[in-house]
Amino acid sequence: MLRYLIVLMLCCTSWAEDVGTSSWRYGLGLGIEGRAQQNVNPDYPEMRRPILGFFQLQWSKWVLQFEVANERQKTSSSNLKVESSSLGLTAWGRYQFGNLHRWSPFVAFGGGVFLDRVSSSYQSEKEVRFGERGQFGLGGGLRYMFAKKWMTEIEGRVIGAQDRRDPSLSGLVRLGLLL
Amino acid sequence: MFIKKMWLFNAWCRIPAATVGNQMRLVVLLSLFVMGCGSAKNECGNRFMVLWPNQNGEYAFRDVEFSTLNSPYQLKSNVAEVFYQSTIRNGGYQGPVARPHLTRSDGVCVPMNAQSSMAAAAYGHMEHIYKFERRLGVLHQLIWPRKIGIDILLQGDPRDTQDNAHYVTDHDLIVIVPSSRARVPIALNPGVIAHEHFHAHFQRHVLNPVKEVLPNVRIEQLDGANLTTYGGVNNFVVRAWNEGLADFYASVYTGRPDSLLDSLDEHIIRGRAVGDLQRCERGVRASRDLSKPLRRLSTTREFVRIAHDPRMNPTAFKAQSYCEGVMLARLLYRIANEEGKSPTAFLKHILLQLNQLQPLLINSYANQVIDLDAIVPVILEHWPLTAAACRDLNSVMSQSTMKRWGRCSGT
Repeated sequence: MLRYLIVLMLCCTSWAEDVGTSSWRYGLGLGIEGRAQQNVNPDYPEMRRPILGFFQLQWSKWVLQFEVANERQKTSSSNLKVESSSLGLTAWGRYQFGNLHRWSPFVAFGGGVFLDRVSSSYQSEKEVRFGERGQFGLGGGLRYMFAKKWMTEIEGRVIGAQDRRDPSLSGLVRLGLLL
Repeated sequence: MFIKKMWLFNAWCRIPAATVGNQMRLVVLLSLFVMGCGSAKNECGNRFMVLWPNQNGEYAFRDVEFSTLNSPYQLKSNVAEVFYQSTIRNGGYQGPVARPHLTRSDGVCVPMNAQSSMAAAAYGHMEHIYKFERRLGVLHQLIWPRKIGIDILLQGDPRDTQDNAHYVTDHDLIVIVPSSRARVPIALNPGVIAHEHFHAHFQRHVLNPVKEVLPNVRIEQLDGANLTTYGGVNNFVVRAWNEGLADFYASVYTGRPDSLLDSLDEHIIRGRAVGDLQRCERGVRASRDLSKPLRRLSTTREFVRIAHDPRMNPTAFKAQSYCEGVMLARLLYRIANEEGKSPTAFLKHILLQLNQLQPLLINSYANQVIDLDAIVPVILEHWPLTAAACRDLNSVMSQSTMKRWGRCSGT
């Protein structure tokens, strides 16, 4: 499935159109993600709401977006305590449709890695480990440009992560500047 | 390999960067690169970092291999199935097995929350029990995979719904309820898991066959049992045997006489006994430690007198039943650990003798109160007894039972 999508996107390069903006633009801002993902019992989803920062490179209708997000979680059972923090680094390639000066829907494809720090403690015992997990996903959303350089975006994503059999669903809201 | 081929293809093309199409290729390839970094290796292998005891019962975070798992992200195999906060209905746990949240760290799966850590550890202990019984040669005694649930939410007495574990006879599964005050979470305690696991042996080879012959008998019932009937009191005799043997099984499996105490504290079990009425030792640390001194099992007369006291009720009598079980377990522990003896061989002998209890129960259940020490001649049949073992037996069992048995008449 992944291979076919990549080949499809590469083939589409032959038909890319220049819509009149031929210079690079740079965007940056903040956002928040609401993500429903599998619990240890897969029948019960859990909600996560990480804050993220993003940086965009835009050429014509094509955008390359880099995101950084941080999540923390504290859980315990009796004297066993586990604190985990994850730094998510992702890159998304996307294509904007329509008029870029106001409303423009887009589709996105990308992925990245979670860099994890897990601190487990039991009474006086403590163990800190660092790990990583991969992820990839598909997204689609809508950008709205206002006041010349400001943009706000909403996006829905389906994300496959290394430690989840079923994909997670997430919704994102971003606010930033496009220079 | 596919990603490498795409890299080579585009490098070979050497397409000038001026066109929009090629810049878009750059966008896609950069995305591929980032994804490639994250998905280079999709599994974290079967080594888990879990809270695990050593042979001395000291808990620490250790890397333990779970060799029977097909995937670390799904706690299911032909050995065990672990469930988390699942409901119990229609013959078993409902829904999918537990999927721990793991990150990969130097080839080791590290649970990212306490729930995943407990679920993974519980699987590990079930795997170790499987391998233990395989070495004993008693795997055929039970049906595998075994099913165990973690943080299962039950309704009822808080002493049963918190900091506890149960074997559910109707569904043949182990239930571990949430831990809040236990020093070691119940799900991480191999002694508790082994104790509950043993109940499956007793159920399959003693209770279920008896229930087939005596279909109207509710031999497992304690709450609501009629203590004025032979059967009602015998339920507590049988429970004492079941609990005592389970404690003994746990001691052999863990190699420790007090493994249960890691998760049982005074404040957890306070309130079950009825003051000085019962022949129970004070405090859980005194009573559930199998290395403590032997104590005589109650005679039938003593047991019935306790049962019929106006202050007694089935809930409190259950504590007496557990006390008698521990006295039985201490006796077995002492015999198993005699110099030159093999505790595992002794345990195997007992497991294979369990079905010999069926005739005793079938013939006597409704006709008389069964002696608490009546189990001993059955499970020790054909087991060589030393002089030291006979001294221990004489100190725990009644004179009448020892006389009828005759095995230690020379000592």
